Order: sequence, then structure tokens, then C-alpha cells
Amino acid sequence: MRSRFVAGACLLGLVLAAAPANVAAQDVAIRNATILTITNGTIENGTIVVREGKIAAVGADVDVPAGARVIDGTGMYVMPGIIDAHSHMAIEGGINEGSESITPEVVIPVRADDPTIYRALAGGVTSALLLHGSANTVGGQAAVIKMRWGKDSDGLMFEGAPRFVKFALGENVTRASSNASDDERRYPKSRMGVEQLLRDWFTRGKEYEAEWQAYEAGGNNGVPPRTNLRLQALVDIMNGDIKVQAHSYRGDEILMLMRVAEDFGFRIFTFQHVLEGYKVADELAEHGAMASTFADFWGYKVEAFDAIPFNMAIMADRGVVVSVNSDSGERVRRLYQEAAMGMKYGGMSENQALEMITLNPAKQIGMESRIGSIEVGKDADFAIFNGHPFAPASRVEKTLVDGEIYFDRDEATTLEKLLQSRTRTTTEDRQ
Amino acid sequence: MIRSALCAMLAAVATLAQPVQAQPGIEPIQTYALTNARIVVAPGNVIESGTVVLRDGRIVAVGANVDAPADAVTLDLAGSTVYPGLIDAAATTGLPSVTRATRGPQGGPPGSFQQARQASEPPPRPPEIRPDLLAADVFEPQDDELERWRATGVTTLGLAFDGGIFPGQTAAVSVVPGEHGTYALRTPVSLQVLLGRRRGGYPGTLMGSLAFIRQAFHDAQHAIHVEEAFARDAASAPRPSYAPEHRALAPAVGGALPVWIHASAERDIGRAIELATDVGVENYVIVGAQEGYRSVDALRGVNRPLIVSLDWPRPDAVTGRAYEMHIAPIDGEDEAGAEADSAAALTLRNNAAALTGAGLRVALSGYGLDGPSQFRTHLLAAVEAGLSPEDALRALTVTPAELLGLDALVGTIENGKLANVVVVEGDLFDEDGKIRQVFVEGRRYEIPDEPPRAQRRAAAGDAATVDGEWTGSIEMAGTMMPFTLTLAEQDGQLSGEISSEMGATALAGERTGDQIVLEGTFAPPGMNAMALSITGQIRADELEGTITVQGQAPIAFSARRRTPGSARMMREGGRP
Amino acid sequence: MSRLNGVEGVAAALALVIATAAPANAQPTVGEAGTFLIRGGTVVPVAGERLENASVLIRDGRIAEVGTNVSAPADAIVIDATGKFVYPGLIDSYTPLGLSEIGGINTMNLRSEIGDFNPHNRAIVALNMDSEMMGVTRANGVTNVLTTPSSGIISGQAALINTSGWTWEDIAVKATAAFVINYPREPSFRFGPPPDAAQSRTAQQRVAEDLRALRTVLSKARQYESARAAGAALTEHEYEALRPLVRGEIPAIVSADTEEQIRGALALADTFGIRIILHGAGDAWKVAELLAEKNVPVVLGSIQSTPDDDEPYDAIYAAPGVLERAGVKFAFSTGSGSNSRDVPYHAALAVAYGLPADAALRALTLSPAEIFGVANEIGSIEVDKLANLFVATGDPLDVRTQVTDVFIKGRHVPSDDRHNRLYEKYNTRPRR
Repeated sequence: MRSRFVAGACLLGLVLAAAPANVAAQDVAIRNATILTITNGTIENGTIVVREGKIAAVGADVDVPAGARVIDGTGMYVMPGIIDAHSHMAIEGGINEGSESITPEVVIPVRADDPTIYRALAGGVTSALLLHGSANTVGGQAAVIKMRWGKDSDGLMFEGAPRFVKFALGENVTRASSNASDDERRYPKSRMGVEQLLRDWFTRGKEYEAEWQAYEAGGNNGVPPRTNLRLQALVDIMNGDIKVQAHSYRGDEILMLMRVAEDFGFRIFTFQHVLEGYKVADELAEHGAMASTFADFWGYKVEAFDAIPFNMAIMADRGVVVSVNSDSGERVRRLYQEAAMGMKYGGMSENQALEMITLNPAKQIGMESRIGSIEVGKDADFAIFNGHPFAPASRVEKTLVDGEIYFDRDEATTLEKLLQSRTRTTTEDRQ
Repeated sequence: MIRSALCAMLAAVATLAQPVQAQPGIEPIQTYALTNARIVVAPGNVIESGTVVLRDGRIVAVGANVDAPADAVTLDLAGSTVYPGLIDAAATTGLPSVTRATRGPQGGPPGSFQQARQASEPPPRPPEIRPDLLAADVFEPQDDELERWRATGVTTLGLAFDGGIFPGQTAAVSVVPGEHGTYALRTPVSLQVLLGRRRGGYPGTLMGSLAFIRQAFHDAQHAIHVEEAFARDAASAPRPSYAPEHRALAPAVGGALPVWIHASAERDIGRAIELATDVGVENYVIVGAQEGYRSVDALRGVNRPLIVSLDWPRPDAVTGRAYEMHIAPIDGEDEAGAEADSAAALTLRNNAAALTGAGLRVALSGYGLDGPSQFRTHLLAAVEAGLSPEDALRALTVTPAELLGLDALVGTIENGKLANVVVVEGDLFDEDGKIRQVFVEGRRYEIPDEPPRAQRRAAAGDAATVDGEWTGSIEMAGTMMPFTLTLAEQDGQLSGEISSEMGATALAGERTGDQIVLEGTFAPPGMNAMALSITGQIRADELEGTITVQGQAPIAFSARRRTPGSARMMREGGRP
Repeated sequence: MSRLNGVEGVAAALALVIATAAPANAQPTVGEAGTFLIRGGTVVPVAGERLENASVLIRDGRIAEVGTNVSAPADAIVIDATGKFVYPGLIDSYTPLGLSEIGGINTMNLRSEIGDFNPHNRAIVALNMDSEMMGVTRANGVTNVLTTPSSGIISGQAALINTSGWTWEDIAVKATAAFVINYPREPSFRFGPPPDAAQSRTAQQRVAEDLRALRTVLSKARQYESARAAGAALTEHEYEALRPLVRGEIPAIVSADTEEQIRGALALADTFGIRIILHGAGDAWKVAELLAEKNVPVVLGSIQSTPDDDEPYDAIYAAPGVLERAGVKFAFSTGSGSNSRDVPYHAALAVAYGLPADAALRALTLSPAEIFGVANEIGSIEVDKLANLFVATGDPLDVRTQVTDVFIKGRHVPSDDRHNRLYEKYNTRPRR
């Protein structure tokens, strides 16, 4: 008796939350909201029209097509769906192939039924970069996904995303906190060793490339060289076919990695964490690397002890494209709170702060042509808040991906609804 | 010599019209005529009343009008049905465990820079990576294991390792003891590939294994190229590699040796298909496929055969359950959760039926179960869930025979094939059906009556009886206090009482499978009444669980049943 | 203190330096003492209505006057709060601040002692006044924390402290604010495979044993108190330390999460006649009415956490609102040293999911002061309380707000914490 209502409520949630959604066949219109476009300012009382999953129109005086599903945006703020450029959600079978230190041949397998995806949607996140862990100097290749909760792993993949690989520097890679003897440890044990390991392996990569070039030029007696997936991946990295996301903390190691990359003819695409990026901000900008960091998380390791919340503002001021990321299933739910810290620490403007969770991470996952701002032609990925995302009382009401509502607080099972159902059944029992 | 004399004596005994007692060990091969039997020659091909003649380990005659030869031991099987001996194409019986093996040598030698450089070379031969190991070479079964297989009607086993990545190559054997060489029917049967992990070395993750498997096939392909070049012109070609791994994979690369790829969950099935396509392997079989029902389209697209395991995953862990966003109620029973679990469990049990219904070639196997004891229970559950007896029979005879490359030898009751048949009183796929005799390569085994239901279910790990008087003691207020728990069950509902020196408390509750939940109000003399709850799990005559008195931490206890279950035995209705 | 960018920031810094340059005894880090008038802002006392265009006079470390008509004495340093807000200092009600710096470094993390029962260990004597974490914490207006020893069953005595001072005697508001108890629980299996039946049973037995041990200790503590009260000599320091607990003078702060653990903690309190505060209490919303009835306050664990998969997605965010509606007194905590400064943002998440804003502010100020028995000293802007307060450009729960001035014990805290120092250094690096 008691839980029948709860079961009913759950079924309701089940029907609506689990309906595997396709790209909207129906047009969608969000009306009368404050639209934070990121690239074209803020539109008061604005309307967005979505057709086939793309933004068809946005403005203050836009007509809503007949038959469109209308979302009333009165009092609401609409921003581009938040992009998390560093996540380990939805990964199957281990995030660290830590048995060896150079493993770019492995590729992150996605596990679509991780509830972290749903909770991320409830925090306004619509895309994420799923990265290999930080146990290896050169780890594995990433997966870029959209939060299409309910679809299988193929359905989550963000079609057209570039290939990325994870590098890591510092304490995690060198297993700094290990007390094991040298016999039981894996090279490298120091930051010095990290540099030499990189140089050695990229040199081997060059040799491998030369071997194949010689074979293709007719050499090697017609016997192709052994296909070595690991070395091939290193070649792809040097040729820019796989872009580098590098976990890093200390200024010295950030600089080291940029110089190694330059020596081998490629660039670091984005530094991750990069908590001392502010110390080498000019060098980062010159090299062309972007930065994805934490807002004010610090002090949990020695290499994080010089981290300062002004990191974002200093780097941005010096020309680096900066984002804030979650690197956790918890922080992903409130990235909007993290981005606001750019305004508090170092005086970023509101739009600069918003860029850190929209356009900038879109660039860092190579998809700025599709997402990261509210412009005609881009994907209809939105986070709809009941107030300005940076205001303390604000929360996400709805999240859309490809024009389809994947999170709706009205339909979700909330704590309030759960408690109400209990109260109601208790009353029934008494009657 | 003594042995053959013994055999002769046993043979002499056998010709007397007395039933031969089931004995472990090798039964003599005799000539038998199974008469007046209903004969299922092959799925869909039934002789209502006929005779099968077995001689020298082969079937020599089968038909409605076959006469029993004079020298045959004639068995009147009126009322019984004779089936082809069943085949489990992927059993781990008698093979060393890969998952429980002691850790192999550490991968990637530590220390110097030069050694780090070499860390990417294939590490020395851990149990997870030994593609050249033949299951037939390491098959060492226990007699009682084989006896239990026969008791389920299985007469041919496909041998497969229980884990690893490239644990070895599978084989097919008959279910009779003896030197493995004599009863091996085929080796190798296939190259086994699992998306497993290597402990203590590369690859230690799923993504690592996928890359490793791809690289392994590339290496094998390369080895073939080099050997061909070497054969053309040894002087200019690079030196071939004779590494066992490359030799083992070469026939798989060529397609001569089938590749069996293990994949249970939907996403693993997708990965297996992608992997095979990537490395250019076309001759493959997917083993496991417990979530195959979710991948029917993809499987039909590649149209490869499946060895479908009856080892179903937990219903709350199947792919897609998370999408239901199930929220537990604050208090009271989680009925919605239990309903969803039941629905998922039913869907899982119906997996094989869904796949055969989609037109896929399916063999059934107990791979992953705890040996033969659970095999029949799960098979019957699959039939009850919707697998037709004819499809079930095909999946246990004709199809696995083909997948093992043994269709000329086993799988149907036809002349020339091995004398592998099962005699059933009743229907093989009915839970009341009793397997009475099994012939393996012409040797006759009588199957004893089942042990008491409670023990058998305990071995099956399935539902158990609650009825009876259970005694145990719990620690209360610093001392051990004995108690007696008396329970009776009707239609899943339990009633009874718990009594101790502190008094007696009436209890009510229910049983689900082997789990019980009971509640009552405990009112010790001179104290306020307190809510009391008991949860526990039954295994045979042991009950283990916890007692929780209102406001206190749960106290663990164990109890033994004092008397055997009451005459009113429970039906096996408690399957999850 | 957080800084404004570029030129504005330098100007503000200069202004501050000039304003505070007068007294000859300017003290870095701890802050200069003196008479201060914070003038012309919106004062939010928490213990009453907010006052527009009001001022606060600080003298001899305490709040001397509050109102719209406060005049500046001759020797007062004036802080112009026009367009700004004045709040009581925020309180983080459960942290390792001062006890532990970088958690992963053993020598920096001496927060726990050997053995399950250490009621006599006092956190107050083991605090680092120059902790960098303490520095950045006070910069955001968090003027007080409860710093707690950890591990074992009775870890020791938590201290309610100011986040600035010369010595631990100087920073103590209440040296022994509560006894830290960790209600026995099974180890969390979140990161490994789920336990099998045997492991579960072992874990459950262990919990039962620990619980019995705890009850035994409390029972003996009562007997010890009776004996001592009747004149027996001091024999055991552990039980001597527990006397205020059994006498009901000092509460125990009990970490308990599940409903079962919470009920168990309540039963302990009933059985042994001790006052408890629940900490963590993830399931408190399930038993909110019971807690209100029994008048048991709750120090919530970090709101920046994730619920279980079978809980509503907003369970942790919405729980404070549920407690508020049921009439439970509660406070916020971060459980962190490095990010104790973020405690208002934990409260902000609760506001977004149903907690009224003024209730959130109270749970950061007056409620914890009451819970720890120091409401006579801190928790609101009222005459005679310690001058623990701050000036800000807006609502402290709003991440965008700048905290411009912090006062602790009436001293004006300078903005020389580690983060501001590094900011100064690298923001002024010459461009390439």
C-alpha cells in the first residue's frame, strides 16, 4: 500500500526520463527568457527557435512556428549547455592503464548507463571530454560525448569530434607518494625522468614513421614493417592527428612539456589542471596552448600548494583560452558556481566567466563550430536556469541536447516529491 | 589384464536381467538395444516407438522396426524417451582456473631506463596470455564432476578457460573418465579470446585489452607476411618469428581456426563485433551473449553463431536498468524495485528464446555457472521463460555439434554417430522429467535418484525450504543466548516464532529465493515492547543472518535446522 | 581578501594601507588592533532586522555600538562601507583547519591518534597559527571554525576557534567545544567490488563490537563521574576528560550518516544522558521530525557531495530545507581545510533547492554559535559580542561578492594570505 504511490511516481519518471530521445522531429521554441548568447551579448525577453536539433533563430522578436513545442522562459535564463573539458564519468573497465607509462594505443570505452550523466544534466552540462587518468606519462585516447541520457554508448558519442590523448606530468605519474622500492616501481620516478621518457618515445615514433616511409617508397623487400599501434599513435600525435590534453601542475613541468613538443614539431593543445599556469602564462599564450583548470580547489597535494584562484584571470588576461572543469562527478553538477569565481578572483567580466564553461571548453574539445554559444546554426544545447547562473538561488530547471529535453526538474523525482508521497501514503493509512 | 578381467566379470553381471549399479569409473562398452522407446532422433524428428542399437560405441541402428540383436543387452524403455546426448560447448570443467591462478610474472621489468624502453615487448607468459595452450593438454577432471555432468544428460563437453585474454585454445571431449588423449574428440576447436585483464601487468584495463588484442592480431599477420617473404627468398627477408603466440594466432588470422570471443553485456557484444571486423576475423563465435536480446539487430547484421550462457547476471545490473532512475522509497518495501528486478530477471531468462526467435544460430552453455549442478535448473528456467523445447534441444545438440566441428560424430541419433544418448522418464525439458540413464560412447551409466531436495537445491544455489526448527545463539547483553526459531511457509509467506529465555515472539514475514525476512514485536519481561526484525539466507540446513532490535545495531547469527524439512516440500518456485 | 583587477586593485590596496597606516603597532597576519568605525553600510546582524545606512563601532576587540546614529570617536579608524554590507563572521562547523595542512603528507596531517578512544586529546593545543589554509579561509569572511581531530571512535576534543590569532590561547573561543565521536559503521565499499556475504558479516560483527565498546566506555565514564563526585581520586585521564560530557555540560558531536546510525546515536544519547550534535547526517531528512522533537541539532556534512544512485538527484541540496521546515537547528560544514572558505557556497546550493536565504545565513552564523554554546561571544552583530565580522560588496552566498574587510576579535585582518601574495607577484610580471 505504502509504496504504491512512490512506484507510480517512479513509473512517471521512468516513462519520461527513459524515453530514448532522437533528434527532435518537432520544432521547439523557448520564449520570453533572458538569453546569454556568449558571443552576441544578452537578449532580454528573447526567443529561441529550434529546428531539427539546431538553433534556427534567436532574438527578441522571433516568431514561433506553428506546432512547435513551447517552453515558457518567463523569469528564466537560457545559456549554452555547459561543457566539461575534463571528466572521468561513463568510462568502463578502468580509467588508468597504469601498467606501463606510455600507452597511447588504448582508447577510452564509454559506458552509457552511468547515472553521473543524469546528474551532470541536472547541473546544466550537455557535453564532456572523457579522459584517461593521470597515472601515465602518455596515457590513452579520449572520448567526447554529449549527455544523451538513455542512448547507448554509440548514441552518446559526439560525432565529428577530434581525437585526443592524455599526457600527465608530476606526482601522479611519478607515483610520488609510493613507498615501494625501486625494484618494484615503474620508470619514471622524477620529473627529470618524465622528460627523458617522452623524448625517448617520440624519437622511437620518428624512427617508426621513417620505417614505414621507407617501405612505402619501395624498400624493405615488400615486407611491411610490423604495425605497432603504440608507435603509430605517437606518430599521429606528432602529426597533429591526435591532439594532446596534458595534466600538469607545476610551472616548470608545463614549460618542459611545451619545449619537448616544440622539439618534435607539435603543440600541446590544452593543459589540464595547470594550476601554476599563471606563472608561465605568457609562455602558454606564445606556444598556443589552452588551459582547463579548477576555480579554487588547491592544497590537496604538494604540487597543488601554489594554486591560487586568480589563476584563471591571470591566464586569461595574458591571452590564454581558459576553462574550468570538474574532474569529478560532484563538481560537474555545479560548474556554473565554479565559473563565477572568475569574477570574484581577478575581476573577470561576467561574459568572460561564462565563456569558461561554454565557448572556451568548446574550443578545447574541438567543437566550437557546433556548441559553446547561442547562435543560429549551432546545436540546440541549452541549460535553462530559474535565475542568473551565477546568482546563489539559481538552479537548472531544464537541459536540452540537440533540441530534446533530457533533464526536466518538473518530471524528475526530487526530494520534495519523495517526501510528499510518503506524507500522502501516511495519510491514506490513517484513513 | 586384471582390468579387462574385471570388465569381463562386470559384463557378465550385466547380461543378467538386473540393473547395473551406477559406479564411478569406466563402464564397459556393450551392445545395447533400447526398445519400445520414444526416440528423438533430432529436433523435430521423433519416432514415437522404436529401437536404438548401440554397438562398439556407435549407433548402428535406429528406427521403428528395428530388431534387437541377439547379443545385445535389451532394455525395455516403454514410457521413456531417448534423446541425443547433450553438448555443453563451453565448460570450464577440469581446466586450471585462469582467474584464480597465482599471479603470473610481473609485466614490464622495473628500474633502469633501458629496461623501461623494453617494457612494451610482450611479457613472459602469464596465464591470461597463452594463446598456444591447448585445453586438451591440461584437462584433468574429477570423477565426480563428470558424473554430475552425465546426471544432467550432457555427454560431450567443449572445454573453455574461465578467464584471461588469450588463455588458450578450446577442445571437445567425451564425458567419460580416462586418459584425456583417448576421449578427446577434437583439438583445437577454437582460439579463445576474452576482454579480460592481466593482473600485475599490461593490459590491466578493458581499453588495454582491446588494444592488446588488436596488436596481437597485427603481430600474427606480420609474422605470416615475414614467413611468406622468407619462403620466397630467405636471403633478403627478415628473420621469421617462431614465437608461440604468433604460431597460435596464425590460423585464426587465416580463418581456418574459429575465434571464440566472450562478450556478455550489450556493449561488450558491440565491442566484440567491432574488434573482429577491425582485425579481419570473419570466422568467429560470440560466447556468453547474456544480453544478446538487446543487440539482436547488430547480431543479425553479422550473422555469426552464438554460444549463449545460462549464467544470467544480477537483474539490477543489466544494461539499461540505470535509465529507469529508480528511487528507493523512504520506508517500507521497495515494491517497484522488486518488480523491476523480476521483470529484468524474466527478460534475461528469455534471452535464448529471443535470439533463436530472431533467427540466430544458438548453442546453450552453462559457462560461468558453478559447474553442472546449476546447469539443469537454469536450462529449465529458460524453457519456462519461453524457449521452446525443440529450440532448446537444437541448442544443446545439433548446433553445438557444428560449432565444435563434430557434427559427424554427435548431436543426433543416427547411424555411425557416437553412442551418446540420454534416457528420460518424462520430458527432458520438464522439471518432473527424470534422467535415468546416460550412454557415453556406448558406456552405460545409471543416474541415481536425486539427493534430498534441500541438499540438491543447496548445490544448485537456488530456493530452499524454510520449514523446520532452527537453533542457534546470539550475543545479547554480553552473553551467548540460545534461541529456537520455528518456521512454516505457505505460498511464500512465513509464520513462526522465535523463543529464548527472554520469552517467545511471534513472527511473520516472507521468503524470496533463499532470503527470508521476518518481523515481530519483542517484549521481554519488564521492558517496553520493541520492534524486532530478522533477515537471513538459507543454505541447505544452515541459516545465516542478522537480528535487529529496535534502535540497536544488527546482531549477526547463524542457526542450524534441527529436523529435515517437513513433508510438505516447497516447489522450486522461488527462482529470482 | 579578494582583489579587484589591475589599477583598481592597486588603488584599493593603497587606500587600505593608508587607512590602516596610522597605528604604530601594525601587525601582519594577525591584524592591527584599535578602534574602528565601519560606516554607512547595510548591517545584517542576523539576530535582528537588517539596518540600512548603519554603522558598527569596534573597540577593545568587541562590538561597542550598532545603529544608524553611531558617531566616530576621535581615535577611530573609519572604514567607509557605503554601498556595502556588514555581516557577522561566517562559521565552518567541522574542519581539520590548523590541525592538518596537506592531507597526503603524513607530517602535515597529524590529525588522528592511535587507539579508538582518545577523549582526552585536545585539538586546541596542536594548531598551526600560520597555516596557509587558515589565511585564505579568513580572507573570505570565515572568522570561526570548529576544528576536529579524526579517526577512532572517540577521537578527542574539538575546538571552536577564531581563524586568526597569535597563539592557540589567543584564538580559542571555546577550547573544548565538543567531544568528537564517530558512530561505528561498516567501511565504505564504494571504490571496490561489493563485499561478499562473508566480508559483510565480518564488517557487521566489527561494527557490533565497536558499538559495545563505545557503550562500555560511556557506561564506565558515568560510574567514574559518580565516584569522583563522591570524592574518589583522579585515576584515569581518559575518563577524567569525559566528565563534562556525562554531566551534560559539553556535548558530543557524533558523525552518523544512515538512518540506522542516526537512531543509534539518539539511543546512545537517551541511554547515557548525554547531549549530542549530529554531524554528516546524510539521512537526517528522513527523521527530521524526530530530531526536532528531541532537540538534537545537526552539523551537515559537505553539501558539495553526490547522493546515491537510488536517491533523488537533489537529495543533498534539498535536505537543509527539509530540516528547516521541520524545525531542526542546523549548521553547515565543509570538512575541508583548504576550502573552508567555500562554506557560504555550500549554503548557496541549499538556497537554490528550497532553503530560505535568511535561514541559510543563520546556519552559517548564529545557529552554530548556539549549537556550540558560544552565542554570547559570536554569531551575530550585537553589542558586547566579539568583533568577528566582515564587509562585503554583496551577499556572501553569492560567489561574485568581494569581501573587502575582515575583523577578528576586533583586529583588522590584512589581506596578505598566500593567494593574494602569489597573485601580487605574478600579476605584475612584466609582459614578454
